[in-house]
Amino acid sequence: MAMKKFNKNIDWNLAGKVISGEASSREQIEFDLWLNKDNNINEWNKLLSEVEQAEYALTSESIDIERAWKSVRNKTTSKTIQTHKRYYLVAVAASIIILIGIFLFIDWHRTPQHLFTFSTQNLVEQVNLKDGSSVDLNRHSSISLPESFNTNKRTLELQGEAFFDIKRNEKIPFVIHTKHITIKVLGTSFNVKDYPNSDYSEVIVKTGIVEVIAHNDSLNKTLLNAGDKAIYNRETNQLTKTENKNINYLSWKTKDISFKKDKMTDAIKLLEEVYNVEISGTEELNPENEISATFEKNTIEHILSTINKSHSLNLEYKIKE
Amino acid sequence: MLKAEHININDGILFEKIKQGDQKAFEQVFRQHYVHLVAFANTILHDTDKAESIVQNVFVKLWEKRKQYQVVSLKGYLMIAVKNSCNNEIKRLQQERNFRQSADKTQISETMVYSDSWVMDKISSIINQLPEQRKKIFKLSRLEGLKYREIAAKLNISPKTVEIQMGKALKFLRENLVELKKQVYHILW
Repeated sequence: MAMKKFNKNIDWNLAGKVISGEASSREQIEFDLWLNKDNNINEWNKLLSEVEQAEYALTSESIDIERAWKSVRNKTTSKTIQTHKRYYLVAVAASIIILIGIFLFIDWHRTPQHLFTFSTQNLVEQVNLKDGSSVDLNRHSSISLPESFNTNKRTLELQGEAFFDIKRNEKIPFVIHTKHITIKVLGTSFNVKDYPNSDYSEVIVKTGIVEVIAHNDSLNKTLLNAGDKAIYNRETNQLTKTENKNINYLSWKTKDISFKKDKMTDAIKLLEEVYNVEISGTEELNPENEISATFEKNTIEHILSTINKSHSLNLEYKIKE
Repeated sequence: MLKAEHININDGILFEKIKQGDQKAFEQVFRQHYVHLVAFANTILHDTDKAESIVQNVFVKLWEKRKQYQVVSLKGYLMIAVKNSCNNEIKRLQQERNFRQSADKTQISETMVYSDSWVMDKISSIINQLPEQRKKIFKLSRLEGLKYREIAAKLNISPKTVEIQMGKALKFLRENLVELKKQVYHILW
C-alpha cells in the first residue's frame, strides 16, 4: 500500500537528481519539504537501499578477481622481486638478441640503438609510447622498440598479439615488424595476431588505413580499410584480404563479448582464450547447441553461471597458469 | 571450482594461518571477501577503480601488518578497514554527497554484503531487464560517478534525457525490487 502512495506523489526525476547530487538548492528545498511529510522518509530510505542493491549487483558483475588477486599477490610476495629480476634479465637478453638480429639483418648499415622489450606473461597489459600511441599487449606477447623513434620512421617488433592505437603523424610512418609480416600505417587502430605456434598471421583494422606486406616478398602486399582483415598463410605465402566478420576480435582486451547464434563449442573456446581458463563440463554438450548473448566486462564466473542457467549445463572453469 | 564464498572456515583459524605467513589462507580470505568489499566500497565511492584500489590496499596492509594484528572477526575487520579508507578518500576529495538521511551506512550494507548469492543473482537479472541505454546511464552515474552533463556528452544525448532516464530507472528499481523482496521473504518463511 505504502508503495502505491509513494508512487503517486514522488517526482522520480527529482529523486534521481537528489541521489546524483544534481539538484539545485531550490529543488533540494522542494525535496526536503516532501521528505518531511507523512511517512515519506521511510519510503525514501527503501529506495536508497534498493539503489544500493542495484549498484552492488552491477559492481559485482564486473569485477575481475583474478587480475585483482595477481596485483595483491605481487605486492605481498617477496618471491616476485626475484621473478622481476629474472624477467629483467630475460628482457635484457631478448633485447640483446634482437639488437644483434636487427644489427645483422635489418638495420646493419645504421647505428643500432638500445632496444627496450616489454613482455607479458599471464596478464594483458597496456604500453604507452612516447609519441602518444598506445599498445595493448595480449598474454605471452612482447614488443621491442628503441628508446626513442627515428626522425623518419617509427618502428617496433611484435611477437604474439597486440592492439595498436597509433597517433597520427603523416611525416613519420609507423612500421611494425613481426616474424612473418610488416605493417605500415600513418595513424590508425588495428589488431595484429602473430603467434609462433600458428600457421597464420592476422591483421584486423578498426579505424584508418593499414598496409600489410609479406616479409619475404615486398611485392606481396595489400591495403586494408576499417573493417577489413588480412590473413597471411605462412605455408603458402598467400596474403588474403577479406571483410572481418569476427565481432569478438578485441574481446581479449575489452572483455566485451557478443555471441550471435554461435556454436557453443566455439563460444567456449573464445571464453577460454579471453579469460585464460580451461572450461570443463563440455562432455554433455550437443555439437549443434547454439548461443546468443552479450556480456559486457563480466567475470568468467558470472558468464558461466549465466550460460549454465540458460542452457542447463554444468560448465566449470580452472585458471591456466 | 573456485567458489570460495561457499567455503566456511573459522575466521580465527584462518587468521592464525595468515599470521604464520600462509599464502594459501590469505588467498582464500581474499577470494572470499574481495568482490563483496569492492561492491560495498563502491556504494560509498561511486568509482569502481578507486573502490578496487582501496580494497586491494586493505589486503596488502593486512598481509604486511599481520603479525601486529589481533583479529577476532576477519569480516568485521575488513569491513571497517574498507569503510575507514573510503571515508578518508572522500574527505581527501572533499566531495562528500550526503544524501542518506539515516546515516548508518554500515548497518544497512552489512546485511546486504553477506546476503545470499541467490538474491544477488536475482537482483542482477532484474537489473538486466532495464533497457540498454537506461542501464548504461544508471551505471555511468552510480558506478562511475559521472555528472548528468558528462553522461549526456558521452552518449550524445541531452542532459534532460539523462534526467528522465535516471528517473525511470529509479521507478523501475523501486517497483521491481519490492516484488523481489516479497518473493525472498516468501521463500524464507
